[in-house]
Amino acid sequence: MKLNVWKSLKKTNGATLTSLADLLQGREAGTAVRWGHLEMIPLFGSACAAGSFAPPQKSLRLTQVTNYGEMILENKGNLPTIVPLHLGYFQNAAQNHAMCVSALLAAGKSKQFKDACCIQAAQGGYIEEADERFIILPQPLRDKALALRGKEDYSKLWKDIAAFNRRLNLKNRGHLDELKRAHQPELLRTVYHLEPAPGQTGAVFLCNNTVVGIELAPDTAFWNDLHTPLVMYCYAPLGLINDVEGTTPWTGETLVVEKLNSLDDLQSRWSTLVARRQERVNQWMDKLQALPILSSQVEQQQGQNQLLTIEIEDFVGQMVLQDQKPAYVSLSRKSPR
Amino acid sequence: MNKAPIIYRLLNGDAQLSDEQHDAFLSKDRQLYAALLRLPNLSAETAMAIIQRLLAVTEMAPGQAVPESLRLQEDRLIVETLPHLPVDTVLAGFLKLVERRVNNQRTSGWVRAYIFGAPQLESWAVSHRRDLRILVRHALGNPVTLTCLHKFVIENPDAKTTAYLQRYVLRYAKNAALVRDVFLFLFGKLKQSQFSLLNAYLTARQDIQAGKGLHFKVLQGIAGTFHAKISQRRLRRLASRDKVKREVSDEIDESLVGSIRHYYRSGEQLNAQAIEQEMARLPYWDAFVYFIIDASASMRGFGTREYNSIAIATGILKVFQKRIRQTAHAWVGGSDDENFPQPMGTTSIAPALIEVVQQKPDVIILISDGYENIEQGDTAAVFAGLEQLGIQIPIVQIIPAFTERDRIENRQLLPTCFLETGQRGFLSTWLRIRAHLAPDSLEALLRETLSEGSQQ
Repeated sequence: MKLNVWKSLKKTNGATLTSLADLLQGREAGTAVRWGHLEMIPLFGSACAAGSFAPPQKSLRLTQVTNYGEMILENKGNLPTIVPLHLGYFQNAAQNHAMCVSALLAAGKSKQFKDACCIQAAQGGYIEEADERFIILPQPLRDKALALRGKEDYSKLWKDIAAFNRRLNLKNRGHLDELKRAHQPELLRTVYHLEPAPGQTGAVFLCNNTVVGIELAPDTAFWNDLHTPLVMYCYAPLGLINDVEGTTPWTGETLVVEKLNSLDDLQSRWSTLVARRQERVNQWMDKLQALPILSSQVEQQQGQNQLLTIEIEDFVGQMVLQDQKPAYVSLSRKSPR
Repeated sequence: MNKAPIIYRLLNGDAQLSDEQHDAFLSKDRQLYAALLRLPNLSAETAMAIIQRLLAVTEMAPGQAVPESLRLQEDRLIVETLPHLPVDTVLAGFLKLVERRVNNQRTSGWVRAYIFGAPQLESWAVSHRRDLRILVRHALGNPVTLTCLHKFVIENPDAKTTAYLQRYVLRYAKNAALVRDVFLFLFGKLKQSQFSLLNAYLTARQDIQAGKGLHFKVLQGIAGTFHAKISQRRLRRLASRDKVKREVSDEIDESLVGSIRHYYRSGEQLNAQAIEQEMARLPYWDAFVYFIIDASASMRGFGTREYNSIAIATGILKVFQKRIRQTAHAWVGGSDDENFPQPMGTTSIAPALIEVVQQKPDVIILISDGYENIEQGDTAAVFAGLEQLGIQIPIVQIIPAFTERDRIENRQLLPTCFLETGQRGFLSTWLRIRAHLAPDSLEALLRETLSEGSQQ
C-alpha cells in the first residue's frame, strides 16, 4: 500500500488537507434525487462565507477568442470570481471553445488563457462576446482536458471528443455540439429531473450507484448558476451513454406495498423507506470523507485565495481555498484506462 | 343517431365525423352540435367543419330562422375556437364556403373579423396573399372591394370616405394603417410600406436580398417570377427559421395563463378580472376536491416556456377553487408565497399523496409536470398501495404543457392523465375530469358548459 499522506502537505504550501473530509467540512448531505441512471446527493452549507465570490453566470463574460485555442475571460462583477473548471461556450457561426482549467479572476479583471481547447473541429470564425450561458465539459472528457492543461494546441481535445461522440452513436468527429444537436430534449429533461434544492451549495453525482463527481460551490448563489450547466452538459451525457450501451438503471430500494393492512401501515412503510434511503446517503458520505488526498499542486495564488489541482484515489480535479478553507471543488472520476 | 358514443370518441381524440354525420347531428340537435367545439382534442379540421356548417345553415327548418339567442351562443363558441386553429385550416374552411357560394351577412362578418382583426395580419398577407384576396373579395363583393381600394388610396380622406371604410373594413381593425396597407397589397396597389414584411415582399421583387426574413415558400414564389436563376440554397439562407410552436404567440396570449405567466415574469399586478372571467365559464361542481400542486424547480421551465407550467397550475387552482363546493390544497416544493409561489425545490409527490388520502376527499387532482425525482416511481408505488387497500378515491394528474404536441412519455405518474395548455382556458380540463368521473353523463355535461356558470 502506497502512503502519500506527507506528499499533500508538502505541495499545498502549508494547507493541511489530508482527506476528502477536509474538503467537505461544513457541508451536510440532503435527500438524494434520482432519475434513470443518474442520482444527485445535494449538499448544504459551506466553510466559505456567503458572498465571497461573484456567481459565474452573472459575472463572467467571454470577451474574445483571439486565436484558436485562446480565450479571454472577463469578470464583470464587483467581487472576485472563480471560473468553473472546464467551462465552455457554444456559439453560432464561430468555433466553440472550452477551458482545461479553473481560474481565479479579480473583480473587473480580464485574463487570457492560451491553453484553452477548441471543441468544434471544422467551424471557422472566432467567438466574440458569447452568450453568457456557459457549459461544462461532459464528465468523460474532464480528466482528459485537465491532463492537457498548459499545452497550447487548439485541436488537442478533438480525438477525445470524437471518441465520446462514438459512445453516443454520434458522428465520429471533434464536434461537441453534436451532443446538443442530437440530444437537447434529453439533456433538458435531466435538468428538470435533477432539480436543485433551496439552499443547495454542492452535490455528489452518482451514475448507477457509483460516484462520478463531487462539486462544491462557495455559496447558494454560486451553485444556482453552476447547477444547470453541470447537470445538463457534464453529467446528463453519462445517462445517455448508459442508455446507448443498454445498461439497466440502478433502482435502489423501493416502496413495498404487498400485504398492506391500512393507511397507517403505508405511512409507516414510507417513513422507514425514507430513513433507509437517507442512511444509504450518509454511508456514501462517510466513505467519501475517508478518501485520502494523494497529491495537490498550487496553480494560482490571489490574495487569500488559492487554486490547486488535486488527485484523490479515483478522482481528479481542481479546488479553490479561501484562507485554507475549501470554497470551490470540482472532482471527476478518472476514465478507465 | 346515437350522439353519446360520437361525443365520447371525439372527446378522446380518436374520431372524425363523416359529412353525413355532421349534417345529421346539426339537423337533430344544433345546440349540442355547436357545443362540440368545446371538446378538448377536437381536431382542427372537425372544428372548422362545424363552424362552416353553423355559418352555412341559417335555418333550423325550412322557413324557421336560427333564434337570436342560439346564434349568439354559437358566436361565442366560434370566437373562442377560431384563434386557436391553424390559419391554413381556417382559410381552407372559409374558401370552401366561397366554393359553395355561402355569403350571408354572418359569414361575411366572420371572414372580415378573422382577417382584418388578426394580430398576425402582416405575416399572413405575405404568406397567404392569394387566399386572403379571394376571401376579402368574396366577403365584400366586387363593387365594395373596388370602392374600398379607390378610397384607401385617397391621401386626405373626408369624413364620408372614412365612414365608408370604417363600415366595411376598419371596424374590425386593430391597426388601421396596417389594414390599409394590407388591403392595397392584396390587390397589387401598394408600392411601398412602413411595415417591414410588406416592404420586404415588395422590394424583394427587385432585390431578393431585401426579402430576408420572409418565409421560404414566399421567397420561392417571388424568385419563381422575378429571380429565376437564384438557387434554393440561397433562398433557404434568406428565409426566416422561426418554427411556429403555438397558434397563439406569447405577445397576443390574452388567456388567464398568459396573464399569470406575465405576472411571474414581470412582477406587474395581475388583473383579478382575468380569474373572474375564466371562473364564469365553468359550471359549478358539487364535490370535495383536494389539489396536490407541484411547485418544484422544474415547474419554472426555460426560455419561451419559462413560468408556463406554474402559471397553468396556479391558474387551475384559483379558478377551480371558486367553482367547487369544497377544496383544499397541498404544495409540493415552491416558495412560501401561498398565492403564486416561486417554483423551487424537488418533486416528492408520494408523501403528499399519502397525507391527502387521509382527508378523504371525493377527488384528488395532482397538477404536476411529472418530473418526479424523490424517487422516480414512488407515486406509482403509493397509488398501487392505495388500490391494494381498496381506497376508491379517484386520482387524476393534469400535466401542464406549452403545446398540445408536448411529449409526456415518462411523465405520467398516474394511470389517468390529461394535458392542459391553458390557451383556451380550463374548461377542457374541467370537462375531461368530470367526463372521466361520470362517462355516462357526457352529453349533459357538455350542455352544462353552455350555461356558463349559472348553477351554484
